[in-house]
Amino acid sequence: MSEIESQYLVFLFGGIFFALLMTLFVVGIVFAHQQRQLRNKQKLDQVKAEYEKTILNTEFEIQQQTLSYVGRELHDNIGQLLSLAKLYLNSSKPEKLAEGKEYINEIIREVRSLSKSLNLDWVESISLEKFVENELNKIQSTGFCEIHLEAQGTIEDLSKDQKLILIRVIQECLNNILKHAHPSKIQVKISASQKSIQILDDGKGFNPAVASKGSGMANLKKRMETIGGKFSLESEVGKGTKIELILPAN
Amino acid sequence: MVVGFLKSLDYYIIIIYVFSLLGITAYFRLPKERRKQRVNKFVAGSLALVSFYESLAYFLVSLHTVNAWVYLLFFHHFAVYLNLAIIQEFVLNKKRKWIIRGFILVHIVFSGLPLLLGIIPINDNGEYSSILGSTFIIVSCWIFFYELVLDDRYLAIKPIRFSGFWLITSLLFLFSGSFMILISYSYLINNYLEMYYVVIEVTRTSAMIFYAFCFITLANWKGYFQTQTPVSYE
Repeated sequence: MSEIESQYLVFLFGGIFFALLMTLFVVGIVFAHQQRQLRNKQKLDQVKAEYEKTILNTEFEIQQQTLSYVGRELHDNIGQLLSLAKLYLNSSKPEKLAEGKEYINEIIREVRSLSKSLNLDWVESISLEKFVENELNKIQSTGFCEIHLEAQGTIEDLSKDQKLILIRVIQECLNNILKHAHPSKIQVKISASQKSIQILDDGKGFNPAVASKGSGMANLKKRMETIGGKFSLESEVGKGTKIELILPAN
Repeated sequence: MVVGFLKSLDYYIIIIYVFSLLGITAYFRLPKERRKQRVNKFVAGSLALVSFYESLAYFLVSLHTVNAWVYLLFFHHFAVYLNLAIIQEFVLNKKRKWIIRGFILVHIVFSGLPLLLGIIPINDNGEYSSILGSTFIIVSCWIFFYELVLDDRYLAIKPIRFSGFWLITSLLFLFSGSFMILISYSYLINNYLEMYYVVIEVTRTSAMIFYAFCFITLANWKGYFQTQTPVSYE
């Protein structure tokens, strides 16, 4: 074989090697990309499962709370109204009978309003501002502490699931304040433009650096993250607590 | 003159003509909004440029005139800028886009201007310009592959059905081959001229593959290929 022929051979093999290298490169990149897609899909499935679990848990908690509220209402409100209605309807006086009928009408209204709270459709119909206002009014009606609501604009673009979780997180924050902080004032600031809700109290506060026994705060943070939002907390012993919920950007 | 030119045509330039003709026709048949996309303009421009300078080079050969300046000016400069522009269109990160644009600027300053001012002789074999250009193109290709594999925005894309992937892969191999050839250019020319022609064939084949992908990108039958990057910054 002449020198040139052997050189041609070298370049033939060189060319084949070059083509193989190109093929290997293409296969390698496609494989690496597919592996990443696969890992991402698994991660997405996991996040989706976690999201669904959080929604289910939240729904369950809200239903439990609604049931206990319905129970309380049946016993304390409707039960009392029924007793009064029975008393008036048993009377022979026509004015008492009319009052008894009025009570029956009131009972019907109360039962209708209670039945509405039994399913979670109210979550869709109520605005976040109205919900917070109702919750604060409930607190004020107990005479536990002073409340203040500051709402700028209306938060509208939230899905039912996101609203459900937010409602539960707000409820939990307010419950925590009532249980642990013993404040004289609770303030809630809602800003639609900044997509944030601030819950402030002037209670006893705590040191956030000290790990708490429960997993409440971690749960709230995780729930906010599940819907694409953020949860932040600032507190100091004796100086109250400030919680900020950053809503998801839809 | 014309007969001499026609006689000088070989399979390489005929294939380049075919891809250019089909590619440019496909470009003008694209819907208006796709014709406005810069990537499609650059790809069509690349096809027009190659058919122009290769014709000029073949024409000069038919006149038995030196054609090295044609490749130096068009392949080692204008084609490099167009190819870098194509790559930066597929890069998502704004900073990395600017790095690639910076490469174009550096190439203009350190190779284009010296050529214009006569510091680099017009009939130079183009080793310096080509090494500079090939290095920038190879680095830019790796920037694209880095993003393709690691950037979340590329997760939804199937590389096999993404024209950017094929264009840039073929560019990488074209310029890797051309880089290796230019490193050994003087040695091959002086010692193994026949071997030099064989090596040139490898580059020509890579070039034909690249221009084939340019045509495929513009033709994009039944929308099989995805030509747009997932997120455009500008």
